[in-house]
Amino acid sequence: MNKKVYRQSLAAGIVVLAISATAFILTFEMPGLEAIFPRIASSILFLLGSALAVTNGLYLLRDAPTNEAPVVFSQFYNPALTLIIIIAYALGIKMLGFYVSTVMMMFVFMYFMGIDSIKTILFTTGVVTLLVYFVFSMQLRVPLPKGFLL
Amino acid sequence: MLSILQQLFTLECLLALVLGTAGGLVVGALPGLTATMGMSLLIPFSYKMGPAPAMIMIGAVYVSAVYGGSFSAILIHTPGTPASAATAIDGYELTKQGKGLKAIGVSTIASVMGGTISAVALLFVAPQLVKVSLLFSTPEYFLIAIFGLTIVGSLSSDNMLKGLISGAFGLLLGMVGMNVVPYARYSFGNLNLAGGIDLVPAMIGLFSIPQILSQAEKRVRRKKEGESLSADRELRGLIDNTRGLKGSFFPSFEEFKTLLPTILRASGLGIFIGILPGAGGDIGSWVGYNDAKSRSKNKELFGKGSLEGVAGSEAGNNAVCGGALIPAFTLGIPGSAGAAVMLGALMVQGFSPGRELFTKYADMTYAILIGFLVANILMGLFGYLVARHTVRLASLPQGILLPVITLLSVVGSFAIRNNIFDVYVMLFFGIVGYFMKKFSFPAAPTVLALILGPMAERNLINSIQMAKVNVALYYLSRPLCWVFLILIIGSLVSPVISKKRKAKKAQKYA
Repeated sequence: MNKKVYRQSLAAGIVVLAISATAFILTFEMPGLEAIFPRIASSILFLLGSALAVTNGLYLLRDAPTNEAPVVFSQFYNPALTLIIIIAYALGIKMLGFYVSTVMMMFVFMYFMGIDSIKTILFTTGVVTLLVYFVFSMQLRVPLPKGFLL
Repeated sequence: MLSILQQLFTLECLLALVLGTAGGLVVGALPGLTATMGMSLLIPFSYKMGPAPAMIMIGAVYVSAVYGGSFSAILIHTPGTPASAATAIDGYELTKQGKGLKAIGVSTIASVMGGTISAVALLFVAPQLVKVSLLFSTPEYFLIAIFGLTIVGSLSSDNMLKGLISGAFGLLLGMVGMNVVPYARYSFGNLNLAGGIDLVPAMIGLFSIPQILSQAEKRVRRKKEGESLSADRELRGLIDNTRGLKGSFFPSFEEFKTLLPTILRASGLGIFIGILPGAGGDIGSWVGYNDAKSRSKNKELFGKGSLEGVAGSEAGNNAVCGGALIPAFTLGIPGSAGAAVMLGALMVQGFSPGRELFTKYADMTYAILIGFLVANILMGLFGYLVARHTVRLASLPQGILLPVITLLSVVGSFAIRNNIFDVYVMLFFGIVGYFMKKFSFPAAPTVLALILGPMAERNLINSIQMAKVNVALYYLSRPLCWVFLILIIGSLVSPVISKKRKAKKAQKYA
């Protein structure tokens, strides 16, 4: 169990190193003063990422004890499905229009989360959508995107 | 003074105050929602209001959500916000002993007192700090921003390294586009990115989406509905038990006298913790709780139902709110994630923190600060009226709550600039924030770095231009820079030393 925690932190350290190295390389195309701060920040991130990777690598070799619990990847199943709903909603807004995709998202998301009662789904969707219409479209006059449907 | 009151006592401000306080109580009482999430979702609703009502509303949500978290912590052992986790320990024990109502009463008194004292401190200390800040020039402001970033990394989490990485990551994200310099950095030819990352969608993403995804982890598939029903039944049972709450809401005068020193001490500690960048209400409540425990004559009651424990924790977490706004309004360094959201809301309204807030816009600023003070008192009144009923909100299914938060996150991100790209930015930060949460990287330093990064860079560039020859010598020739350099080194070294000391102590007793 300990090894898994350190392995995950080591991997996180390597990801940080990759991000900072990329950020540093991208500064080569920046002119003079504009490149100073990105170079400082990416160098600091690189050092911190190295520290994270090295310390966890050493802990891994020593099999040191830890109180932390490792991340279990099966936990990502429901969040991944939720994320698909949210991304589909965000992309759908431009194509179907804000209100149509909102109604669809509310239906799908509520059903996915275990709300079986059609009355509850209809009522919640209706009330919340009307509220958003009243506040954002009527009061704040936000031009919410319209798609080919509405 | 009259013009300040004229700004405050408008129908818009009073409505904002009442709605913000009531809304904050609801956000706080709902487990799974946090004060920062409620505040960041409110910015898009409020940005077309005047600056005073908008800031008063968000400030009211801030303080009352922190207080509201204690209701479910005390009555059903489920902290409404992370800041009320310490309250749950003794609060729920008191509920089991039939003293739940009194525990809520003590929480109300402690929260109101802690919040009010911190609001008074904010009113009096902030203008003085602004006067001190007149001594600062660009090198000092650069070092203040760096100090804010280092201390936020070291305080925000058990793992200092991960806190610092979060901060440095936020620095890089803050450099996207033409935020500070007239060159589109890290924008990959994308026109939207060239404009820079807007703070509001980033905050909504970091505070709302990870919460939605974390709550979704608890979803039970239909095959296993039996488990879900039994968990629901248990929660409903706890909520039903609160129907019969009896006894007195307020503690007796004798009890209040014994609690008063605890409340005052925890308030002082809370203000101090609030001023330190990044140490939010959760740390304030634990410090207040531990202080109450270490000085109590009835230490044996802690963990078994101590009113002092509830008072210490609640005064501590509410005192953090005002304390955290002191450096935010004066130096632009938010003391907590909540203060960072307040600062973001202020910037959305077109104002910058610092001297001008207390000179050119003094009427508006003092109206906001007095509104903040009134919100602290009003939340106590609302709490007295509705505390025992709001706990029922905890039974609201996540299946309804999560789609509503998703909708508000999306529409809120879009509404700030009427740009669908901001929705994608919010999603990006949400996904990154979720993985950061899973791998124990705190999100608060990233948000603070998004605010402090541009401030640090602007002042670094200006000081390089002012130095003309050698920047290092220019910095070292300024006495105030030495002070901040020592503070920066101290903030980096002290957690390491204290960790080693603790390890040595543990070895000694093992």
